[in-house]
Amino acid sequence: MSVKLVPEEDLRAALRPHRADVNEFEAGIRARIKAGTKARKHQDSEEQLPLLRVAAAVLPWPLIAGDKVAGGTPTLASVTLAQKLLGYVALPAISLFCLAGAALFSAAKIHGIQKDNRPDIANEEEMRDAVRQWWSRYKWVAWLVFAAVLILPIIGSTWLLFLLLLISFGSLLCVLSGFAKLGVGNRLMIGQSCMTGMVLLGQAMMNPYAGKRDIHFVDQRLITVVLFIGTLILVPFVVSSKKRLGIPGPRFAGRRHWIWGLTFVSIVVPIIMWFTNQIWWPATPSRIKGYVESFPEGPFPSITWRDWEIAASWTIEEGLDPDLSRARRLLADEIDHRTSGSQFPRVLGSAFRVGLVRTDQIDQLAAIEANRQFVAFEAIRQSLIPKASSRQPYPITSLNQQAWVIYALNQSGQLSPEDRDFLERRLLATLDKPVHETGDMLETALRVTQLLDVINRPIDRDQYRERVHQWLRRFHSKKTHFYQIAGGFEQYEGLSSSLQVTSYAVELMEIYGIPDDLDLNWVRSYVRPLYWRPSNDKWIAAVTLDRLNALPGVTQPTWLEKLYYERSLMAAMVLVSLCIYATLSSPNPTIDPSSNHNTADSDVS
Amino acid sequence: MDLAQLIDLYRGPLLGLIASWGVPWADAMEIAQDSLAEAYLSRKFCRGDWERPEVFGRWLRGVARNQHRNWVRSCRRRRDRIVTVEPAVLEHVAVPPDPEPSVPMEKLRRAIDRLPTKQRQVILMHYLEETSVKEVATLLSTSPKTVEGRLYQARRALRRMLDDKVSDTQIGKRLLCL
Repeated sequence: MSVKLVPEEDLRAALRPHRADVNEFEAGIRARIKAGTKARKHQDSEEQLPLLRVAAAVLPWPLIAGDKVAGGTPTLASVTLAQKLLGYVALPAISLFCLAGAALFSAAKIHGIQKDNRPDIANEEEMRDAVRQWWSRYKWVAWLVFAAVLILPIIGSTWLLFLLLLISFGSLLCVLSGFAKLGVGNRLMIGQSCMTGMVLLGQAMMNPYAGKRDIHFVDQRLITVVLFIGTLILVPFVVSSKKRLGIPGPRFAGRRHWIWGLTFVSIVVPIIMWFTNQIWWPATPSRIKGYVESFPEGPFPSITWRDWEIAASWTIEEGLDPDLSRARRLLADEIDHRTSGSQFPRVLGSAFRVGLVRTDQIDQLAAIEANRQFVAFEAIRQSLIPKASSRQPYPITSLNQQAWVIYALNQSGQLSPEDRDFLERRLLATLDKPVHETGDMLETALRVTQLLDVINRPIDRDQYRERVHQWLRRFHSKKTHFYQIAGGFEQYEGLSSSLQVTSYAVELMEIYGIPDDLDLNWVRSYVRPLYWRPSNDKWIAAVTLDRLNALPGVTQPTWLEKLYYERSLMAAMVLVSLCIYATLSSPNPTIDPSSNHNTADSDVS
Repeated sequence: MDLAQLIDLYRGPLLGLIASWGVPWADAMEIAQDSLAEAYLSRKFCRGDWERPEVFGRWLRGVARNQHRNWVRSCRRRRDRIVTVEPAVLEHVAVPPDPEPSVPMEKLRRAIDRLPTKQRQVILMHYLEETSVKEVATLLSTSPKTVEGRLYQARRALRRMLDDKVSDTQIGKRLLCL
């Protein structure tokens, strides 16, 4: 039996009036794509920051962007579950909310525990037994916390350190409630436990890897400082509690309690002073000027002059009017004796850029015999500007070695307009066809720009802006190499960042502007004041940070950003406050004279 | 695959798919254009090689579903507002009338509207622009055999509706109601 079906032709005919006009349909799509492409340009950064996309999906845009960005809420379609979870933890608002919530919860919990805390053991032996009992009960938890304290700072991520500090809140509550249950929750025991915990955490935070993988505006050693200050605050309470407990025996007799306290203070205070020396002895303009004027000589003249040049240029630009007589004297010695050999051209380059070389010294330089490598003025001149018949605008392969000759020729008026035009072509060719595009590009770009200004052939900034921005993006690194801080610029692609190159990068940004997708907070983090930097790096970092903050169109970090990036420091402060609160709210141990046994006050402070 | 090819490939079935969700044809056209533009613009977020028809088809269907949800929400919002529209505008946006409206055709269209969703989907997607079964299957993320089966059932159901016959299923349902 055949089954009757509706003819296909009838179906087509019935639906024909609803068919779309092919051209109109396509035109509509193309118009939408055109409009959509423009709107999406600003969303490109979202793709690189999945955590930000999570934030944007959860929080309203105005809260994140401060009413600076318009647009709809992004979707989480292409973000994995792990990224979502991590994103929620890493969210600025949620992290800070977690911290505030944990602080309030811990404070309330401490208050609740202390209300029922009636420590009835004040005998030293009984206390030890009670602690042993506590240890046997919480042994595995304590080992896990110790392991976390040792391992998490080595990994170094800020959110892990933050997590560790939040775990410490829980540890404090665990110790407090455990001791209260066992009847040893007096001020001495709680204070000692808090001190031990803070010293342990403080030492863990001294790990060289801690806090180097993320953005921070202050030295993360300040976490150690905060924790150690907490221990210092607790010292008098612990010592007075020991004295008050008054357990007989030579060990606790007389002033020995205070000797213990003073010994602890004498160890901790120098550490605190050392870690906070960037606060007590910051790189102020007058100190930077002092460094420039004193010109400390190092074993390698080219490095000394290179570092000195960065700070000296800044003091001159800032109008601090430094006295450069010492630098002039050292330069004169270099020219007279040429003590630095092959480093001599780099020294001269730095000296010319700062404006130290006099015209009579140029004559002296020109008279240097031609057979000396790197120093032969005439030979370099011939290689830079050959005779008109054989002029080809090849790139200059060793610009740093030869730049001083261009400065000298310009200063002594030996450059004709034709020479300047030819040099301009060669300098631009150096940018257009770099010999090693994987290294030294930022310094080369800066030197070429400066030299073109010197020969009165300024570079077309609009033409080269995008290329320089590409190099800035390419050489910017968010990775840590060994003990280095993330966020600086690399001299060679893939290798460690360099403070000098970071300084050159910031100078390039002064000239060419800031690349759109470069987060300057990373650079701020790289040049932040630290308790210690090798050699002259402290001054270079300070100068670079000042230049960075003065870049045209630069935005300063908001208070929310500052709080978020320093959340570990905030957590340490909260932890110290909780430890102090827990100690001070614990009953003070006293001697019961009638029974000749020690008991504790039942009143809660 | 370039944009023109994508449009040619998915125009008919996408429009049919959206119309099968109960959207008027004029709005379905807008949603289809929005969906194709959005799917093309955000193709880099598509998991897998978007140039493969089955991958892009799945992606496009998801985008269209989201666009449809937005449209439903906006309809709900519009329902709460009083909107005054000029008659000329209404005439402009209205579906162009069939030049030769015939009673059997109207009857067939109404019958299509009464089909179960899955059968209506394949009928609209396949016969609107004579799209191949394979392409319909690609957009629905199903097999061509399944699509063929649904088409067969839909055509049989339509015939019964047009002949005013009651299907076995309907008889069963009516008996259960008794």
